Amino acid sequence: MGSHEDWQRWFESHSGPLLLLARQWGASRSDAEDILQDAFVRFWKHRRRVNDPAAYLFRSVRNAAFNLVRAQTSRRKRLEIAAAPESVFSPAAEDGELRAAVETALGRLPVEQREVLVMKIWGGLTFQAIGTVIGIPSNTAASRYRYALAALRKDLNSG
Amino acid sequence: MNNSWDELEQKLAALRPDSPAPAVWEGVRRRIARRRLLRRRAVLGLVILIGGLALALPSMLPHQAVRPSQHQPVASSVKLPHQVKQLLRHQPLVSSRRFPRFAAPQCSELAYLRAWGHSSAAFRRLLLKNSLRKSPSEPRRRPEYLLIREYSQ
Repeated sequence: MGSHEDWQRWFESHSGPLLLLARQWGASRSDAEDILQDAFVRFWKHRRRVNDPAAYLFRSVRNAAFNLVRAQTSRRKRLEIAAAPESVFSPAAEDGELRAAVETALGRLPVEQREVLVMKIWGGLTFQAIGTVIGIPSNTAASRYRYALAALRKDLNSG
Repeated sequence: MNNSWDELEQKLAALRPDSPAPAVWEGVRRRIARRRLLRRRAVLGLVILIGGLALALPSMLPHQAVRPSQHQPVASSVKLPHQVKQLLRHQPLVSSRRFPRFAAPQCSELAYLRAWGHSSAAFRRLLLKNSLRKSPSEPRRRPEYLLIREYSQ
C-alpha cells in the first residue's frame, strides 16, 4: 500500500466499521470522526512497524473512544437528554425497519459484547485479532460474540 | 441452530455502517502531507548544517606548523624586523645567554621559532600560560628552553 489512491481505497473500505466501533463507546458522530482521523494519521506515522493495519486501527480507535468518553462523562450526562439519537448505519429504503431495530437492540447490549460484535460482523476481524485488539483471549472474544448474537436475536424476535 | 445464527449474521452484515464525511479523509491527507513537508525541511536543514560545518571546520582547526627542512641551515645572522626588536626590548622572550646550547650561533630564539613557523605572540601566550600553571604536579615555571624545544618540534 503505497500510492495515494491505495491509501484512500483502504480508508474508504475500513472507515465505516471504525466509525461504528468508536460510536459504540458513546462518542458522538463528530467526536468519532475526530478519533478516526487521529487514528489514521497515527497509523500512517507507524505504518512500517505495523503488521496488521486493521487490528492496529481498531485498537487505536477503541482506546481513543474509551478515553474520550471517560473524559467527557459529566458533559455527556448533561447533553444526552437533549440530543437526538444519531443513526449509526447508512440509511437504505429496503431495510429501514431492520436498521432501526438493530440500532435499538445494539444499544441495549453491554459495551463489551457490542464492540466484539462490531469488529466481527462489520470489521471482518478474526476472534484472534479481536482478542489482540481488546486484550482478551480469543475464546473470551468468541463467547462474548455468541452472547451478543443470542441477545440480539431475542430482542429482534420479540420486537 | 447454526442456520439461524448464519441467517442473523447475514442480515446484520447486510447493514452498511455509516461512512465518515469526505472532509475526514481530506483532513487525513492534509495532515500526512504536512508531516511529509516538515520531515523534508528537517532533513534539508540537517544537510545544510552538516555541509556548513564541513566547510567551516578546516578554518577552525589550528594550522600545522610549516617545518623547515632539516637540511636547511639556520641563518647565522638573522635580521629581525623592527617590530620584533621592539617586542624583545619590552618583553624579552628568552635570553640566548642562558641557552647557548640550544640557540643557533648568533641567532635569536625568536628567529629560531620563526623558522619553525611560530609567531612571537603565540610564544608569549605560551610563556604566560606556563607562568600561570599552578598544578602541584607540574613545576610552576618550566625552563624556557624546554618550552621552545617542545613548542617548536
